Amino acid sequence: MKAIKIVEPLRAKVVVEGSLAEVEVTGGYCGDLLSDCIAHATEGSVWITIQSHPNTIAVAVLVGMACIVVTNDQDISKQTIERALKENITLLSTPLTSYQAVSALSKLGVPGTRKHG
Amino acid sequence: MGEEPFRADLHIHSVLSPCAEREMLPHCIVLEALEKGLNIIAVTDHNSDENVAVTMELGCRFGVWVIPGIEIESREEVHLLCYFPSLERLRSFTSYLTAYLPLLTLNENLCGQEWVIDDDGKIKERKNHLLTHSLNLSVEDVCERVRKEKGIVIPSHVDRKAYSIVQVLGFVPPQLPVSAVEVSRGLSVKKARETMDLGRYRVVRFSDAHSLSEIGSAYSTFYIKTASWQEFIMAIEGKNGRKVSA
Repeated sequence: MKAIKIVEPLRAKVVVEGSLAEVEVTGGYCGDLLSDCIAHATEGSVWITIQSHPNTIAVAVLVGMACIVVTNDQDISKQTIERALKENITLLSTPLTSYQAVSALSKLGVPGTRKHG
Repeated sequence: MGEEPFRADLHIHSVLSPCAEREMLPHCIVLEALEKGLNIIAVTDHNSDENVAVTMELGCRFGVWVIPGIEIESREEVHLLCYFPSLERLRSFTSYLTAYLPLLTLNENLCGQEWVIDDDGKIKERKNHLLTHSLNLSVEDVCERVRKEKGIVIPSHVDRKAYSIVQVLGFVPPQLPVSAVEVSRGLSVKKARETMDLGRYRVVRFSDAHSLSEIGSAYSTFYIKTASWQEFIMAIEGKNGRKVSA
């Protein structure tokens, strides 16, 4: 599924577009500990998190995530946005909680994925 | 005059931290530090400095240098040890924090008690809001504010599973103005470097004591000329022949 398809069901605001229209979402991961996401999130996944620190962008690049969804209307700093622009990472913001966002993606048929099984 | 070794345990919680044992009274902390042969200590309670002045006063009396300090929890749930050149600088920093700490009622049964201690060792005040909570400030915000007060930041227990900058943010943000990181007392510096990419950062080890017996269970040795803030900073930054080994 193209990443653009998840914007409406998540009631998301597009903070940084990146390659929203083209990029393919192949799975999903939810987590707020960036070290855990580095270890377990899969390439092509949509990442549901409440963390909006600039390091999230580096983690998304490292893992090759399709996009980041920052939940709970968490403030996103200028530094994070600048970094996402620089790295061409799609960054969405939603008023939904992480649970609600995962639930919405699940209804769309996005499977939960995890590295190493 | 050459450098002399100063043994420092700069991560100690007093009875103001609800997670600390009730024996962690400033008087007991200073005497315990003396007994353990420590030259420098810091009381670093969660998001508050209210037992620092009394500990500094006692340190003066008993010959232990007490560096004004605090342990901050950032918005990302990262713990940061912050140290300042004077009590006034620390107080100016903490007065800024107040607006960023959500007021949550302290549940003493669940979380423990938070005591402010007076010069006579009596309980001056029992806090009724929770201090062990994240401030609405990012790690960058905290570092910037500490720098404004001429202080320094050392990320706490970077090897731990919780509240560690490496665990929460994946790695230490490269732009963060930080020279040193703390590893837990259970881990050697060698092991820490083997298991984590600590690159350019100097590594210190402190006890994170929550009980008297834990004080000095880990310490770092500062090779400095005198017990002064300038010398301490030079050692943390590895300048002019000053150094710190853990």
